Amino acid sequence: MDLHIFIQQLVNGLVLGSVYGLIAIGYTMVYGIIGMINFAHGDVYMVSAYLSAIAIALLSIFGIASAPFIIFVVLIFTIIITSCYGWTIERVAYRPLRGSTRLAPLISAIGMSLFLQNYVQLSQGASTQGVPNLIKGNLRIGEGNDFVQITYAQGFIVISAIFGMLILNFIIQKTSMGRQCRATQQDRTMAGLLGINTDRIISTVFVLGSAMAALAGVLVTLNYGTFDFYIGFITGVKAFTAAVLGGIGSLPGAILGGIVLGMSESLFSGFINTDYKDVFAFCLLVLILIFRPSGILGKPEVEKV
Amino acid sequence: MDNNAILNVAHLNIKFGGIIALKDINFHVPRASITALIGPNGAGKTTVFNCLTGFYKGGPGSKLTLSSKNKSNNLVEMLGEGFKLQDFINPPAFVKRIYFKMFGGTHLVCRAGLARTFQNNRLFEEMSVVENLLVAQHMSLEKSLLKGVFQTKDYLESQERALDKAHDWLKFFKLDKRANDIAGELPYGEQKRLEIARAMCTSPELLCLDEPAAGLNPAESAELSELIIRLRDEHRISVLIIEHDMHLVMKIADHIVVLNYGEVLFDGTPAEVRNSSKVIDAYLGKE
Amino acid sequence: MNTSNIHSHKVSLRLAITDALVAGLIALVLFGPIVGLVLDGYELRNNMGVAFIFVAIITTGRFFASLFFQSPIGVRFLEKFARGRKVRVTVAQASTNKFKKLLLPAIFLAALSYPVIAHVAPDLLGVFGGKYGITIMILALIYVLLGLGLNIVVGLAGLLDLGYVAFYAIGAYWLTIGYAELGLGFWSVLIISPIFAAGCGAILGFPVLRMHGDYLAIVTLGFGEIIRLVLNNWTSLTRGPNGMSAPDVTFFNMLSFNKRGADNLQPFHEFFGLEYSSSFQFIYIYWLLLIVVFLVLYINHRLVQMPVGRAWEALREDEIACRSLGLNHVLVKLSAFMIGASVGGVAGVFFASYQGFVNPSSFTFLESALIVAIVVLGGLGSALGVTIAAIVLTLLPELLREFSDYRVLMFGILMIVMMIWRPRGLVKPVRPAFESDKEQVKQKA
Repeated sequence: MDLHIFIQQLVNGLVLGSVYGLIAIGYTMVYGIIGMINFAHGDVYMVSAYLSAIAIALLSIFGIASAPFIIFVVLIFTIIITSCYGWTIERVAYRPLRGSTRLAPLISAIGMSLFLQNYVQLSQGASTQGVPNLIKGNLRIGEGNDFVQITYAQGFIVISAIFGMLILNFIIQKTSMGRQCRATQQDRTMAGLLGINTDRIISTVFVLGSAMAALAGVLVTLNYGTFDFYIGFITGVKAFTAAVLGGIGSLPGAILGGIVLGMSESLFSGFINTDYKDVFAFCLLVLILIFRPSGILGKPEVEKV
Repeated sequence: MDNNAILNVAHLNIKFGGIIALKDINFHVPRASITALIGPNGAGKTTVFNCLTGFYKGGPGSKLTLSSKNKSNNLVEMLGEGFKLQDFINPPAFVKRIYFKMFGGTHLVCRAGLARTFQNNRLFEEMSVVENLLVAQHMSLEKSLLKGVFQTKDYLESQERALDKAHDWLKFFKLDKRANDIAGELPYGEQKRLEIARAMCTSPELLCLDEPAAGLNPAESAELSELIIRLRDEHRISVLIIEHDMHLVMKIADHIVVLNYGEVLFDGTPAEVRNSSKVIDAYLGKE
Repeated sequence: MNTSNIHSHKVSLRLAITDALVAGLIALVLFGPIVGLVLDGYELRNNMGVAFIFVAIITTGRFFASLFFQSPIGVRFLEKFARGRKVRVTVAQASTNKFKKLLLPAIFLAALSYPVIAHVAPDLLGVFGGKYGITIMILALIYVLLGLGLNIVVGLAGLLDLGYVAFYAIGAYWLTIGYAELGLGFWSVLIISPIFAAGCGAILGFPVLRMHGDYLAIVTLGFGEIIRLVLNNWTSLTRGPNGMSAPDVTFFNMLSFNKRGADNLQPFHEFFGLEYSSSFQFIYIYWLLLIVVFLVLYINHRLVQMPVGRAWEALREDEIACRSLGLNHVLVKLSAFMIGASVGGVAGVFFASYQGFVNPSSFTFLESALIVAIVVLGGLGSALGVTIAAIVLTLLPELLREFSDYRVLMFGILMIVMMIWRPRGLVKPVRPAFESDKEQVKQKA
C-alpha cells in the first residue's frame, strides 16, 4: 500500500465526507423533529446544483469575472432559493399530512422526489450540465511521482463546510429560534402547549436543512463541475447513510458520519474496487441499521408501549 | 421461591439512560388469585408490566419465572439476551442463545401463557370485533398456506373452533351482539372489555391488566370487577392488575404489592395494606 | 392562512389578494430560475415566458381558491373534505347480488378473448389492436402482477418496500442466467421462480424486518440499488449493461413459436395448420399471464381471510398489540415479504420472456416508485383497486403519447394528491363478516 495514495484518498474522502455531512444535517434535523425521513432532500441538493450553475451563467452574462465575488453571490442566490424549495416541500408534502398514518408522509415525500427530478429534467433537459472551473490551482506535497495533491477547490469545500456548520451550530445553540427547535425536537406537544408555533419551527428546520444542502450543492458544483438531474438520488441515500452512521437526530453525528463514510468510501474505491463503491455504501447502511441503529453518537430509542 | 406461585419476580431492575427506573423488585403472584400492583404515579408500575410482558429487557440479575403450561419459563432469556462468557464453552447454551436472538422476543412471553392489556387501548381499530379475537388465536389456527388457499377440511375446522372460542369469550364479556362491528367504533367501555377478551383468546394462565377500570363509570367498573372475579373463580386464571381505583382494588384483590420510587414498599393482603403506615405515608405524604 | 376565517363566513377580498401575491412571489422564486433560465453549456437560454405563465396560473389559482374557501360553499367543502379523509371501514354484508357474481367470469372471458379479437380484427381496437396492442396488454398484466405482489407488502402488511424491483430483476435474470448457465428453459424457470424469489426475499428480509417503517423503506431502497449495481457490474455473469437474451417461450415444451421451429420442436403454426404470425407467441404469453394474474387474485382473495393475511393487517395497525398476542412480528412480516417477492419474481420471468432480452436499466428506482404509485392509487390493500390502477397507469401513457414525457411528473403529483385527499385509496375498505353456529351472530349476519 502506497502511503501517498492512502493519504490522497483520505483527503478526497474528507472532501466528499464534508459534502455528505452537510446534506446529512438536513436528514438528521428533519428526522429529529418529525421522526420521518425527508425523501425529497437529495433532490433539494440536486436543485441547488442547478441553481448554482444558473447563477454562475447569469453573472457571466453581466460580465462579472471576479471569482470571489461570483462565489459569494452564487452562494447567497442558491441558498435563498433552495430554502424556498425546502419550505414549499414541507408545506405541500408534509404539513397537510400531519396526524395521518405513518406511511402517508413517506409516500408523499417520494412523490415529491419523483416530481422534483422530473420537473428539473423537463425544464433543464436530461443531459449532464457543467460549470467553468472557478477555483484554479492546487497544492502539492511530496516529490516526483509520490505526491499528495490538494486542489484549492477541495480546500475551499472543507473550509466552507466547517464554516457553514459553525453558523448552523450557532443558530441552534444560541438563538431563540434554535432553542425553540431543540424544545420542539424533544417534545412537540409540550412545546406547542408552551406557545411555540411548532408548525413554524418545522418549516424552519426544513429551511435550515435545505440551506445546508444548498451549500453542499454549490461546493460540489464548484469542485466537480458536472451534474445531472439524477445526482440527488445516490447522494441522498449516501448522505442518509452518513446521518444514520453518526446517529440520527444528532448534528455532530451527521458531520462525523459524513466524514467517516466519505473516507471509507474513498479508501474502498481507491484500494478495492471503484465499480462497487455505491454497493459498499449501501451495504454499510444495512449493516449499521442491523447492528447499531443508534449510530456512533445517537441515543438508543426506547420503545413506547 | 414459592412453588405455588405462577410468577416469581426476583431482583428485577432496569435503567433508562442514567435513570434507575426499577431497583431490585421482588414479589410473586400466587396461582388462581388476583394480585394488585399499586403505587403513586411514576412508581414504576407500568415499567414492571413492560418487563414482565417482554417489552423491556430487565437489567443484569433480573430473574422472571413463569410457571405455566406445566413448565418453568425464564422470561428474560426468551427476549434474546446478549452473549455471556460461559456461553462460549457451553455449546447447547450458545445455540439456545442464538436461537432466542433470532427468533426470540415479546411474542414468546405470550405463548408461554402470559397475556396483557394496555393502559391506552391497543385494539386493531379497523378490524371487526371477531377478527380482533381471531388474530389473538393466531398460534392455534391452521396456518398452512396451501390448506388455506384450498380450504381443506382441517383448515375450516380450525377456523370454526377459533370462531366458537371467540364467541364464548364475547359472551363472557357481554359483547356477543357486537361480533361483526368495527372495533374502533365501539364505546370506550366495550373497547376495554374487548381488549381483555382478546387477551383471553391467547389462552393465558396469567393475565396482566393495566388500569382496566380507568375511564369507566361506576356501573361499568363494578361490572368489570365482577368479570375479573369470575375469571379467577370459573377459569382459574391468575390476574395481575394495575389500578388506581382503590375501591375496586380493595374489593377484588387477594394480595397487593405496593410500589414506590421503583421499589417494593409493601406486600400483603388488602387489610394489611390499609393499615400500613408506610403505604399511607407514600400516598398522602408524611406529616 | 384561510383557516382563521372559516367560522366568520365573511369573504375578504384583501385576504385573497394577499394570499395570491404571496403564492405568486414564491412561485416566481421557485420557477423563475429553474424553468425560466435554461442551462445551455455555460450559457443560458431565456425561457421566462413559460415561467411567467406558471406564476400567473398559480397566482390566479390561489386567488380564486382563497375566495372560494372563504365562501360558505368552500367552508362546507373543506369540512366534507376533512371527513372524506377519515376512513370508515364497514363489515361486508352477505351479498346475494347475482350481477356481482357474474361480473368476474364475464371479465375473465372478455380478457381471454381480447387477443383473438386483436389478432383477427386489429382495426376494431385502435391502438390496442394487433401485435403491438397485445404487447401493451402483456405489459399491463405484468404491472398488475407487480402491483398485487407489492400490495401484499405495502398495502396489507404496511411495510414500505422501495426496492421491490429487486425481485422483479431477480425473476428476470433468473430466467436468462438459468438459460445461459444451467440450460433451463422457460417452463422449468417459471415453476421454480416463485420459490427462488421467495428465498431471496427471505435472505434480504430476515435481517432488516425488525426495523421500523422509515428505516425499512430506505434499506429496501438500498437493496434495490445493490441488486441493480451488481447486475450492472458483474459482467462475467450478467454481461453488464449489454444485457442477456432470454430463451424462447415454447408451447408447453412441445411446440415452438419460431417460423421454422427450434430445438427439435415442430413450429406451432404448422401443427395447428395456421398461417405463421409473430403474434402467436405473444398471445400465448398473454394467456399464460392472464391465468397467473387470476390465480394470484384468487390466492390474494383467500389470503386476506386466512390467519396469515389477518396477521399482516393486524401488524399494520398495531405492531405492539400483535407482539403482546404472541405473533412473531418478524416472521409475519417475512411471510408477507416472501409472498410479495415470489409474485415479483414470476412477473420478472414474464417480463424477460416477453422482451426476449433483459438489461439492468429496466430495474431502476423509478420502476419501484411506479409500482408503489400503482399500489397507492389502488388504495393500499385493495386488490381490485390495485388491478385497475395498474391497468390505467400502463395504458394511459399509450393513449396520451404526447404527454409521455410528463408521466413521472404526473406519478409524483398523483402520489402527493392521493395521500392528502384519500390516504386509503378510492375503494372503501370492507372487512369480511364471520358467521358462526352461535345464534346471536347468525341473526346479525
